[in-house]
Amino acid sequence: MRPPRVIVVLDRHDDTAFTQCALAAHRIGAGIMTIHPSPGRLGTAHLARDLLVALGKDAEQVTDASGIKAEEPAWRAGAAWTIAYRIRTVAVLRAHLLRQEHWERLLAFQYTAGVHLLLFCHSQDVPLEVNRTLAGAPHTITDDLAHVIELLRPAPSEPGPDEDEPAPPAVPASFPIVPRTAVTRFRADAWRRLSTGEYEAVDVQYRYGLQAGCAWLARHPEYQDATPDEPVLAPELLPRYLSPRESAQAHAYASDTYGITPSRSVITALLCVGRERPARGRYPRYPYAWRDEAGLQVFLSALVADCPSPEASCARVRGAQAGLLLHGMLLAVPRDLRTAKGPGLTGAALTEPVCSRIGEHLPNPVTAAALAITLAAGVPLADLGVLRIASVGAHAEAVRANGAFAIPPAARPLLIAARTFRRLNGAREEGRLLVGPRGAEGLVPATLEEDARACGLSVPEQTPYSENPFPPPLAAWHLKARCWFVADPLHGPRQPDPDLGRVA
Amino acid sequence: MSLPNDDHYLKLKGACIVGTEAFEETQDTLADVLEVQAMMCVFGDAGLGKTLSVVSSLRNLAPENSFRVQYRSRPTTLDIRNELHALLGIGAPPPRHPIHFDALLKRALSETFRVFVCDEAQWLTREAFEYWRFLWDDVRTEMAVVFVGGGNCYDVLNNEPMLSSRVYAWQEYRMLTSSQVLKAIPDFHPVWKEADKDDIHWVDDNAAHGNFRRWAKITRHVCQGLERNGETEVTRKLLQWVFSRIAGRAK
Repeated sequence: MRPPRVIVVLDRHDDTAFTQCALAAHRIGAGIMTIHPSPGRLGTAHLARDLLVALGKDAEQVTDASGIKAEEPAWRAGAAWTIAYRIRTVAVLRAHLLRQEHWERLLAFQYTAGVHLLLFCHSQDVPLEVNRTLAGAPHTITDDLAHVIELLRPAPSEPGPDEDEPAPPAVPASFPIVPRTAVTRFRADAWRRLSTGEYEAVDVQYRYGLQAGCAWLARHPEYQDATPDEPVLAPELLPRYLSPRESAQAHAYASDTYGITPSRSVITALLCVGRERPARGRYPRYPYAWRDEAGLQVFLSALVADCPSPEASCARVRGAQAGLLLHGMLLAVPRDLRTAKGPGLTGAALTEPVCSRIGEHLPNPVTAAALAITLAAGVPLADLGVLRIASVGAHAEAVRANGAFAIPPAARPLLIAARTFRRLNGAREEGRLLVGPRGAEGLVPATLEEDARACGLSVPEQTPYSENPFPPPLAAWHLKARCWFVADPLHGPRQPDPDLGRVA
Repeated sequence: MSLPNDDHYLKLKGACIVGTEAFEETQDTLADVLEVQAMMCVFGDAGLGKTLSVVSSLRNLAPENSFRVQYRSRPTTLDIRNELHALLGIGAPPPRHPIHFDALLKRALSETFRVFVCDEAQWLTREAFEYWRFLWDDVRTEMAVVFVGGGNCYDVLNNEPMLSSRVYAWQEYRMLTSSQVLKAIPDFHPVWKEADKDDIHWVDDNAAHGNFRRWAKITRHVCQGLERNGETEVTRKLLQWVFSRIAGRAK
């Protein structure tokens, strides 16, 4: 990757082609942004707001949002969003009309954000006033339109941390009410009680959960460490005292019922033989507990993070339970999942449009992240101040504090912007992630509700902190989930079968 | 309709729009300008019918979407913002911050295609041109701009490099020649319909000088004189009386 550069574009005849080329290249998603500064003799603070507007922030909020009204925070917010959106190239139109202090600010921004900066001068020469400023910064000058077009070409996008995972299925607006039964009966009850169309809608989500459960477990080191490479096949593992006829019956029963080659543990369970698992490493016998609770919490919350319907969330969770069970894992979740609180059940699905709205209406990165975290957690987080900068994962894929929860891909830039903004404000890794305009107390539930309303959203019902007997995050369903190894896997742990769970 | 229907100088009753060559050229060029959403500049001395031609052409071409922008001399960016805010009928009060104001205007200008006629463009400052260019350049806005100006309008606009690459068409208005006057004036107002050609030529030669605005002023005085005297025909005596009123001198 090329190091960030400063390029002065001389549009000597003020040809509209240069301007149109820069404006047409503006695509935040492709990493290219064009700033079109407001005309008039405006100060550098206005240029920072032009930057925020170019980043897609609401113009009214940019001038009124608390925490970034002053010039310095506005520039830092601009840099933070630029980094969070992975913008690589920034073009500034009509730069020849900007004064020396504007150029100094832009060069400082270029250094902070690590972007290529194209300064368009629609004039014969670089303004004399800024020559001294430019002398201190390595730069090149071009007046070649073809070269400018090349510079504004989007770079190939770098894949995100989990872009190779299958996209979750869309959830229909009118999703049926799913059975309130446990995993063992869920799918059968859905088949019995729902119409064909409704069942199919539910089953799409169920199978997605099943696949996701298999995939997550298959690549988890704890699982790989605890299981043999291949499933143990039944024939040679059937209890020795069974007659050949009984063995054949047991095998046929398992095959017909489950459509799989049964493992020893299933056979023994079906025949109520109750054999102990042979000692293997540190795990002598079934059942024993899954240790990576935080990982499990992140998986479960990620599974339903984009679900706009709690009913669909329930279907996915039941599917995940089934998927894990195929691997000999028993996942226990709160009994009445539908009335529980937490990700996918309460709050809002952090989809691309929802996150765009948050980013647009809340230009202060801290405010945007506070709302996104509250919605992702799905429970009141009265104590948002407990979150540290280090609580956010490297790619903002999860937040780990008093329990962990996933951040959907669309919401990650919001958290990355907040983290960068706080770092640019001089905060250390152990420093607070979310500090409101008046300190941590600025992030009160009332403010969050107001912010959510500005974005056309609503936050989970807030409970006053003093009246809440438990630390707030513990209320979320996925933090109560527990998992045990209970049996050998019924199929290979490495690669989940793409057709697994599909009804013929 | 967004354009006021008082095109003629002194709101002269009975006056008709005459299809001169310049008028027809304006109409044709404007049709092209609107099609490509471009900028156009119409320039020439005062009173030659530039604004009237542009406005009446737009009344045919884009009756609902045309707006005439008139400024006091040397308008600032804020003047233009406020004028556009009023013209576009944006319900909300004008925002205090320029950036918010600009975003609001751009949003309104991206809703539907509009044509703006900037009259007296020779008074526009570089800052004002910058502002029009700022709005027009935006990829979301849908607008055409027609700069109309007298005197040194051409020099002012031609000195702005930003306009030279953006103005799609230039049109200069010149005073009518004698033959054009003889062809156009009888159609301009009923009082000249039956007038002697020598009289028309005499008026143009001595007072109107191929200028529609002067012709409008003279016509209004003629109408008043006819009404006052209870006459129906334009006579040389009446014209001499008119000349005395407008301080023209008969040869």
